This record gives sequence, C-alpha cells and structure tokens, in this order.
Amino acid sequence: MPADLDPGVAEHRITLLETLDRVLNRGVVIAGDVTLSVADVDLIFVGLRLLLSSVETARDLRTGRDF
Amino acid sequence: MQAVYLYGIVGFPPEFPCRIQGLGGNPVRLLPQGDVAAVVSPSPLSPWPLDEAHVTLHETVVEDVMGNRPILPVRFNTLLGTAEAVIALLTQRAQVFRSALERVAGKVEMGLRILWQPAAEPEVSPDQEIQERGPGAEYLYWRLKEERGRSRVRAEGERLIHALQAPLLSLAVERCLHPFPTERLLLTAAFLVDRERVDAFRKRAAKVREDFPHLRFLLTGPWPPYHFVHGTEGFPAPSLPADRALASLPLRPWNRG
Repeated sequence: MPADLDPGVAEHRITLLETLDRVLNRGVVIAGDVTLSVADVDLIFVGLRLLLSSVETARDLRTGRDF
Repeated sequence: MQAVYLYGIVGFPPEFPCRIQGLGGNPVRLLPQGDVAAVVSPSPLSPWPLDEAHVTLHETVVEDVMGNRPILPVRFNTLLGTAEAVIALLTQRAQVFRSALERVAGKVEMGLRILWQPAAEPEVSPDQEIQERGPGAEYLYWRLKEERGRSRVRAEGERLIHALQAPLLSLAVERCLHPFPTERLLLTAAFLVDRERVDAFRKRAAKVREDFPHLRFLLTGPWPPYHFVHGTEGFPAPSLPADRALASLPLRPWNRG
C-alpha cells in the first residue's frame, strides 16, 4: 500500500476490516442449515498487513462513524 | 426453495416502522415469537458470497434496525431452512435472547485497537566463560535471553494496557479485551457504552491518546454490540481463535483502493 494513501480510502478500508472482524467473527452464533464455515473465512482472510498499514497511514486514527 | 436469512434478534413488539431491503433485494421483516423476534429476509438455501457488497449489506440492515431498537447481531450467512425453524429457535432460546437484549438496550459498542513498537532487546553476546563451555551453553544463553526479553515486553505491555483502559472503563458498562493479538498490536478492545456517553467516550479516548504519544490509536464506532452477545450461545461457537482471527484479517476483496 502506498505511504501517501488518501485518508478517506484508508478510513473506508478500516471500516470494512472492522466490519468484517465483527460480522464474520462475532455476534450470535446459530447452528443454521447453512452457516459460515471456518474454511470459507480462510479463503478471504489473507493477512494483517493491510490493517496495520491502514492504521499507520490514516492521518486521523480516531475514525468515527456517525449514524 | 425459500429459506430464511437471519440478521439479528430483537424484542417484540413493535413491528417494523419502515421497509428495508436485505440480501438479494429481498424485503427484511420480523418473524416474532412471544416477546422476541428474528430480523429476517427470504433467501435461497445457499450461502451468499463473502464479499464487500454482501457483508456491508448485512451490516447495514443490522445498523438500520439498531437505529430504532436494541438488536443482537447474528453472524453473516446464517440461514435456516424454514420459518418454523426460526420460530423453534426463538422459543428454545427466548430467555437468553431476552436477557442479552436487556443488557445491550440503549448501548453501543466502541472498538479500540492500539499499535505499539516494543523496544528491542540490546544484542549482548555471551561472555567468554559461556563461550568456552561450548555451543550448548551458548544456545541456552540465547534462549534464556529471548525468554527474558519476551516477559519484559509482556510486563511492559500489561502495564500500558492497565493504564490505558482504566480511564475508558469508567465511561463503559462492559469491556472485552484481547491483549497482544499480534506482535504489533498491543490491544484490541471493545467497550459497551451508553448511547448518551459516546461523545464523552470519544473525548476521553482522545485524551488517553495524548497521554500516550508513542502509541497509535484506532477508535471506531458506534457499532452494534457484536462483542457483547455472550450467553446467547446454544452451540459451540465455530469461531476462529482470537489471535488467529486478528492475524488473518481480510485483504483480497478490498485490495483495489
């Protein structure tokens, strides 16, 4: 990731990563007829590098999401 | 075949105030049973693709609902074959859902990650006496040094975590801490905070950030209470261990910036 990444892009990525961590890894677990398997998650989980570089690149790390 | 996709669990009534579109553009509605209800939309009985659009939509539905009432978010891609199966689930677990909903009512989750750079151990070669005792002694010397370095870093990290979270904890109802998830991450934490105290919590976090200028802070939220649904487990959680989950955050779908 380039060092001069736009803070808006960094913030967007951080929000996605944080969402992923929660939506796939947390929340109520129900043994449904189809549930997310760890193998599915493994397919898209590649590394921590992106988060770390996003965190280090974002100018304002106090990312707040309003709704 | 029409199955049911689950987004979350809420109290019932009231009915939904407005129409929300869920996965596949299908309408989101409530399936009530007694005083709890599942937030659902019709779906084929096959998993939705794990990509940015679908995950974001799941989260958006949960957040839309959360704007109006407490919700227990359900994990992505949870599908049940029939509406009857959902009703049976609500009946079986009504009590735990009810108390978990009470616990998160009026509250949101704030996320905090802190990066650090632990000071490197100075490289000191073993003295001559150890070297003369042979390679076995030298190997043990390095192992011992490594171990001591690790415990020193850990002790320093624990001291920092304690000092950091104390001022935040007084503004939170509950917390969920994962110290040292990776080498660079000192702490991943989630705090359950009263809605009215979110601004105060942000300000306090900014103050803590000023007090620890050598650390990097990432504060996010407000989130639905993903980290605060414990007690709702009816089955062993097929979850990734915390350290592995963090060491393996996703890259591919968002690698197009």
